[in-house]
Amino acid sequence: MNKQVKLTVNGEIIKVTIKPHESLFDTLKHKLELVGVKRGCDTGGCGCCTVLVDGKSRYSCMTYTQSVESCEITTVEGLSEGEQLDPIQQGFIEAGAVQCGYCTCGMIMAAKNLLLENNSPTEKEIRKAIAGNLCRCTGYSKIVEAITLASKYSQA
Amino acid sequence: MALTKLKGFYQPSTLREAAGLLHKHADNALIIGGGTFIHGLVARGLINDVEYLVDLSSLGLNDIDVSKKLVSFGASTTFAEIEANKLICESILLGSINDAIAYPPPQIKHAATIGGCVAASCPFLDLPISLLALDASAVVMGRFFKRKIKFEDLFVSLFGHSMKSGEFIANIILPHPELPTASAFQKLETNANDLAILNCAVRISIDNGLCVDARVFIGGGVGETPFRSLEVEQALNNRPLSMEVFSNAASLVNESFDPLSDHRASSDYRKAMAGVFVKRCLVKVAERLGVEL
Repeated sequence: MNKQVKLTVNGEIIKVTIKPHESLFDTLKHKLELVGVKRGCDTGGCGCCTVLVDGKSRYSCMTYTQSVESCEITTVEGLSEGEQLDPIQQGFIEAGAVQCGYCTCGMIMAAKNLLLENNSPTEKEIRKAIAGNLCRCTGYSKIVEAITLASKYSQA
Repeated sequence: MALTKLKGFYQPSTLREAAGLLHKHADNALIIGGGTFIHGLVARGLINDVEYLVDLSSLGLNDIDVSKKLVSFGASTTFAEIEANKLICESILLGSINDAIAYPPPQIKHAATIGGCVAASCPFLDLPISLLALDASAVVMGRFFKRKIKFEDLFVSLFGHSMKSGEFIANIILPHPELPTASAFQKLETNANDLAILNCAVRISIDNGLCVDARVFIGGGVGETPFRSLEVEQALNNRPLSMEVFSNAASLVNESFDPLSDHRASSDYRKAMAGVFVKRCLVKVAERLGVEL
């Protein structure tokens, strides 16, 4: 019952064999070894597994791999260009927005979705954009600060 | 995602193909809209016997059409697509839809579809309540014919709908009243990703300054199916829109409202909140209609 599909992940076309009910999370993490996606709640509530599908944030745990065969998938590994970090990654480092780090990759992808749509968001818009991502360490303040910094870098 | 008995994942590209597949595998197939609701059921081990998944997202059912008489949504329209539609956003008639889809986080909005949200027949969800207030119907496709089911006849029990096996929702339609009409939706929740403890949607038309055709629905896990408050509707109809009328109408909500108790809220708490949320919706509707209270 397994099927070979062609996925576009971080700009690269990859052939991979999947089960019919395989989640995008499992394909990315276990088959493609893109370990930035994290398994948190596995019920579409915590945001640790957030990736971009055609530039839009999605919970990869509740996305069937087969349903995104013709889409562009971006994970946190696809954000930097060589040594050049994405402004959001830079913002997270400078604002010290990481503690245990488990939510960070998902948080960065949710922020990426926001900045792709709106490169000068207000604090309220930032908080709304990360409402689907839980962080149990930082209290969110540093994360909001990081995304604000990133929006400034994006505009520069 | 432990659907261990799964034999196939289909993505039909025509309505005919979809209807044929669902007819063939009628009892063992499950339809996927955005997959967000199914995922929760799978994770809880509630649908382990499913053998075929049929993903309807390639059918091109994502048109939104707003005409003078009717508003129509293709079943696969995502919340994000609804939110991005200017005609919908600016419509006071469709205020309850705009209110309801403002709640979920972006990751859900990009995946969840209007048809999937309705077909789930889950009384905890938000959009079905806002559509009930708007007198919506589902256009349902079968293998040989399509038919229209009014929402009040669609939801029959917890996760139970009145569609026959093999049928699926192609469109959601709702009337565009001639009289000035507005709607609103409000939700009681504990966080951005929470199912409603209680939710409420109201639609009101005005005729010569008086409220007519009021529709008041309460959902969010208050029972197996959403609750319609005829008492509140009667107390609104043929009366002017004023704070006094709204307060009086909202106070009548508990006459026949008997919500369930669960680990998240007691029946008494839901009852206490019902009037508050009905009134908040009414005030919002008046504001949208440009009526000063």
